[in-house]
Formats: sequence, C-alpha cells, structure tokens
Amino acid sequence: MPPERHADYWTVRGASVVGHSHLEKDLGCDDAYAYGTNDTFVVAAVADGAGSVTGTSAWGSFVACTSVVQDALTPEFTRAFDAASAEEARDLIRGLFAAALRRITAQARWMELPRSRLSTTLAVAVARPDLAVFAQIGDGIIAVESGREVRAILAEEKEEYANTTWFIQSPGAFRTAYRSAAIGDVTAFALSTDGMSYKITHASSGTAYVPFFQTSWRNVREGRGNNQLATMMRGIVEDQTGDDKTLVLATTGRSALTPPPPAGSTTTVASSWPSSDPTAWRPAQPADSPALDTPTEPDTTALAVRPSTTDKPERSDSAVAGTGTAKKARAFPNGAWWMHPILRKLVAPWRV
Amino acid sequence: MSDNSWAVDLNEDNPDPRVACVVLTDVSSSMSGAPIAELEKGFAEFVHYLNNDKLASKRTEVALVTFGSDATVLVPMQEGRTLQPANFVCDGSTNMAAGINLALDIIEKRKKSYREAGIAYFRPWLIVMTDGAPDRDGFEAAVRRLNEMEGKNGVTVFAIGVGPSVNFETLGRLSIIRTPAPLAELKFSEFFAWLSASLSNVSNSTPFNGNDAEVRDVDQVPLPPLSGWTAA
Repeated sequence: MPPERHADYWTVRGASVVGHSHLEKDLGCDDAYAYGTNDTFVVAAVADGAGSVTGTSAWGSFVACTSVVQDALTPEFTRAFDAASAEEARDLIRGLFAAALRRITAQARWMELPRSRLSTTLAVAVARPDLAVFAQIGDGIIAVESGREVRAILAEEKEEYANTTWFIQSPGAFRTAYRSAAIGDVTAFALSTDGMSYKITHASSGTAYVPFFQTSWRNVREGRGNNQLATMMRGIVEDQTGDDKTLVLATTGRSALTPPPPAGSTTTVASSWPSSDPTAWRPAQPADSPALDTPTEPDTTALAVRPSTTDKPERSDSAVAGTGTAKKARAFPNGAWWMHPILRKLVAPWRV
Repeated sequence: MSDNSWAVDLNEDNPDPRVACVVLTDVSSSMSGAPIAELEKGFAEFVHYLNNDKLASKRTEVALVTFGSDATVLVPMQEGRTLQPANFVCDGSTNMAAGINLALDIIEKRKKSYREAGIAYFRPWLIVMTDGAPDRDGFEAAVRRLNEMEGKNGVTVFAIGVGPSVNFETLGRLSIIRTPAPLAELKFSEFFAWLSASLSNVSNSTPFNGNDAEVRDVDQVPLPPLSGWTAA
C-alpha cells in the first residue's frame, strides 16, 4: 500500500536551454516544460515548439505544458487518478491532451494567428506511487526506471526523414500519433525534447542510452538543483542538433540536502516561460481598420495567456527558474508580466 | 568540476544526420567554352565551402553526374569534407534521361545505405542544369520516374536553365512542385553559394511537420533568396 501522506515522495528537476543554432540566429527557446507535485502525486510535461514557426510555437509549447500541469493538479483530477485503474488512468491523461489542444486553439485565436503557428509536440507523465502513465504526440524522449531496468518508451516511429514529426494540432494526430503506456513500480522517469536525442539515446534504434539516465537520476537523488541541471545542459556544445534542449527528471526518494516542502502546503509547481511578448506576433492591422484596443476574446474564457501589468508574481525569479533564461530579460520589455490565470493561483507555494 | 556540479554520461557515438545532393549537369557540346568554365569554377567554390563548413562538411553528401551523349558519375557520392573540384569535358548530345536515371539510382542506393547503417537523413536534393532541350530517347520514362519519386517526397528537385536556348516547357516537367529557374548570365558561382547555404540550412534544421496540411504554408526549411543567381 502506498503511504497515506508522503509529501516528499517525488523529487523533480527541470530545465530548458536555448539551442546553439537558435542563439546564432538570435532566436528564443521554443521548448517548454512544467511540473508539479502534490503529496504522492506528480505531473510533468515537456513540449517542443515547431522550428518552422519559431517564436510563436514557443507559446504553443508553453500553453501545452502549463495546461497539463494545472489541470492535473486540480483536486478533482488527482482524486480521480488515485482511484483509477491503469486503463482509466490512460483515459484521464488523454483528457489532459485534449484540454491542452483546446487551450492552444484559444491562445492562437487570441494571438490572431492560425493554430499551426503554435505547433508543438507534447510528452506527459503522471504518477502515483504504484502507477505511472506516460503519453506523447511527437518525438520527445521518455525514459523510465522500473525495477532495476532503465528503458525508453513510446518512441516515435520516424517518418522517412530526420526533420519531420507530429504536433498535437496535426490533423489526425490524436488518432494516429498519440501513444500512451501505464507502468507499475516506476522509481524514476525522464521527459526530454528531441534536442537531447543524440546524446541520450542510441539514435538508430531510439533506445535509451542508459548511463545518461542513471547518472541524471543520481544527481536528482543527491540533491542537485535546476540551475545545475541547466548549466550541464548549456555545456553540451556538440549536441549534433543545435536545437533547444529540455529535460524534466523525477525520482522517488529525497536527499537529505533537499529542502523540505514549505509549511502548510504540499503543492509545488514550476514551468519555463516563453521569451517573447505574445501580442507582438499579431498580424499588422490595415490602416483603415479600427484600432485593436480590446483583443478578440476566445470562446472559452480564461484559457488564453494574456498580458497583465498588475499580476507580477511575488517571487518572480522562482517563477522562471531553470528556464530558457538566456532570453529572460527580453521577455518582459516594459516590466509587464504575463501570467497564465490558473497557473497564477499556483504560484504561492513555489518551490524550485 | 566541483562536487556540486551536475555530471552525466553522454552518448558520443551517434552518427550525424545526412543530406544527400546529386548535382546533375549538362555537358553536351553546346556547353563548351564560357559556360563550362564558369560551371567548373562554381563547383570548385561549392567544394571549398563544403570542405570548410563544420557541420555541412560532415552532414552534406554530394555526387556529381554529367550527361552528354551518355551519363557519367564524375564524382561519386561522398561527404562534403572529402569532396574535390572536378574537370568537366563537353561532348555530344543531351541525354538527360540517362542522367536522371543514374542520379535517381544513386539517391536510392544512398538512402538504402543510410537505413542499413541506422543513420537519420533529410530528403535528398537533385539539381539538374541544362542549356538546351533533352534528347527524346527515354525522356518520358525518366520524367515519369522522377515525378513519381518527387510526388512521394522521395527527392527535392531544382531544375536550372542555362543560357538562351533552354526549352523551359520541357525543363518544367522535371518537377511537379517547382518551376524551373533560369540562371542569370553565367552566375554559377552565385548559384553554388546559394546551394551551399541551402544545404547547410537543411543539414542543421530542426523538426517540422511531415503530415500536417495545416502547416504546409510554413513547413520546410527556409532557404536563402534565389535573387543572387536567377533571372526569373
């Protein structure tokens, strides 16, 4: 039986770093991640915005990840997940993907762009002590430690060419490219975007390069933090892709070095942050059209990420910790802060 | 490294992804003189670029095939870093059909060897350059084979017309996607500079969607403008 209350069951680390080819072209990070824990429950997501629509796709990947984490951390979801069979749990995760796609659609509408400009992959893990469910659309890398075995799961069956993948808004993606798996007794897992693929898998087979995952989880268990993880990732110069790199690592067990969770709350959450102003991508308005004072509201309320000048989080550094920070300063040109309305509610117990 | 740094073991043994490119060029007798001299010079500059660009030298693979009365592999398919300039010799008619078939054979063989070696690859490129109209023998069948392969996303085709005698209507049949581009004057150097930059972009590209009709307008790897070399 899992422990009834075990606030430090999962230790999670995450970071996104801008790829070298993006830096050379002065582009931002199109990858995103988010994760959260609550008692013995953990949810994590990584997403890779399409390079062909760089900049706007960063908002697709960001909205996808934060959507998954905020939905999964609702009491309704965690209760349902705790009580679910493996099959029911897989259905619940599929629901997270569907909601993420709806939010991306709303976000695109608000940004006045076609949804394809926010094209993104998405890989998700949701776990309780005795059951972990993984799912993805796209070419993310998912590795699990179960028993004494380390293996990559749900690898994408590649199209013929190296630079193609599925995005969650691709027509037919949920029918054709959505994969999920339920696995028992998972003691560690990793989610990564494909920017790391040449360094952490055997490229020809898609299988895990086991030493990478073993040493990575050891770093988590020994109490190293997101900044150290990001430093390691930035240090991989010859990554053979030049692409943005993102990694979320979770392990059971907590090092004595890891600070205990804040008193009065057991919910933790962290995410990366896009480096561009979401309103900057709007198509230019014709001169004779009315000024765009009030943006077109999406049908689904409170789904799009909007600019706000009043909602700067108290602990802003934590709010963006471990992200594509190379571009962080440019992210908020006028001192304005953009904050996902529901994510905002989760900011209070930041523990990164 | 301090004890507090995040040390990991990385896999350093994965081969780089490849993009194969066949340059298929007309060396019929009408190309002799200035055109062939400029072609030779442009190809040498292309070789120099690929020898020296760090990523493209490992990831771009090039073969050079010429056609006059017959088709010849002047430079076998190889990595950019080992490529050498070539001497072109003009002779005979314009047996483009033999050239197309030989080029497609090379591309298919290369893809097969990539798959067998577990090497990821990008869609191969075929560049066809001619200054006239092709011989009739076998042309229809060769075009059918080429169009079919392009239709299945098996190859990216660029047809380039050189000089005033090009039959653009016939040349236009080589690709079902791109219209042929006339080379301005004899700007082979500018063309090969564009080709180098384009292949470099492809070999360093990050994923785009291969299945999404919605993103057709924004998919593919952005290529440099053609304005430096084409008269179109």
